[in-house]
Amino acid sequence: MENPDPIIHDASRLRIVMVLSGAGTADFNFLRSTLQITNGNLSSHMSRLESAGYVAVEKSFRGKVPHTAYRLTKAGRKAVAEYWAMMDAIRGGAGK
Amino acid sequence: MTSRPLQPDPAENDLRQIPVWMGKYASARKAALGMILWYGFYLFFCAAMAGLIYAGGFARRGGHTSLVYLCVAGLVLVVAGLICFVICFSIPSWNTRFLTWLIGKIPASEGEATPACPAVATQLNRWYVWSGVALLIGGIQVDLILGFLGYITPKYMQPVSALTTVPFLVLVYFAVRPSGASALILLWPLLYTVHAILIVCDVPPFALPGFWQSNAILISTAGYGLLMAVFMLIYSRFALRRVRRLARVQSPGGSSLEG
Repeated sequence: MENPDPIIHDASRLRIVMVLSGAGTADFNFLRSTLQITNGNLSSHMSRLESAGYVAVEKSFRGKVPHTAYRLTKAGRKAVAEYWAMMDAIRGGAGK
Repeated sequence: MTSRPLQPDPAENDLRQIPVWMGKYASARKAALGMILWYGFYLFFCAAMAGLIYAGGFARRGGHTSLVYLCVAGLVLVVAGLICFVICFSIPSWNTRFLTWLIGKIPASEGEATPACPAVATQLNRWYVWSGVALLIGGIQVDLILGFLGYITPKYMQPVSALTTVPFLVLVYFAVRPSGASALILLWPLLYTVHAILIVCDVPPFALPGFWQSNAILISTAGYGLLMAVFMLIYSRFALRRVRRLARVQSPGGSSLEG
């Protein structure tokens, strides 16, 4: 049996992609305050998601303050859909 | 041996609800900020038009022809400005760009999130814009002018304006819908319609004395718009609380389970 995508199958990263899948974009502060995880933790997870091509990063400045926003890519949306399809399949096949 | 699927994990159901509430939060917040902006500009334009029409009527009764022409010229400029604003606000890409800039200026302790755009603006959306603009020109403005010139009694100005204002507001919603606008925007034309029906049935929701009775349109338009914006802001906070409750990492110390 295939294993779930290890990039998605993580407590924090799964929540990150679920938040992003309901929005157009969400910035770093929003993800941190919503998920209640530390800056370092969030940065690490976003780097992994970006490396996997699931998240696109938009960096800008608001005056002199850097602003980072994230958007789920098509590959990311597809990965999330496949993840849940696999979880449903696992759940439906378990117990046989 | 029987085979049956495992029962769904309640935590998984919570996770699947996150995008739903996230979308509700983002679209309601964007719509609320957009409506407050709309309300502010619309109130400004309507107040300017009301002032010019009132001055024009006063000048006409006093026989000051040049002042009448000046008021008409000012009215044309203000209506043109309002039309430009409606067009800019109703084109999804311009709307999104302007609101993104505005949202960036408004401090939000929770950070920023924008709604997903469910569709690309099509020619149909542009048709909505132009239809709405045509209704705006032919409807409430003529109503205001006729009202101040005495052809419509102040009592029925709001119900008469509802014939064009309500379709206009509905068209604006369909025009901005591709940019992720919340359907709660439709509360505004709904309240406007209910207000008109109550007036026609001789049960006005509020009584206005003297001069203010002639401004019932402005007060009901701006008031219901503001009420709707406040409601959507409250709803967005409720949705955000749901998102936070559903998305909080449950593992001890807030650390993730690294994979």
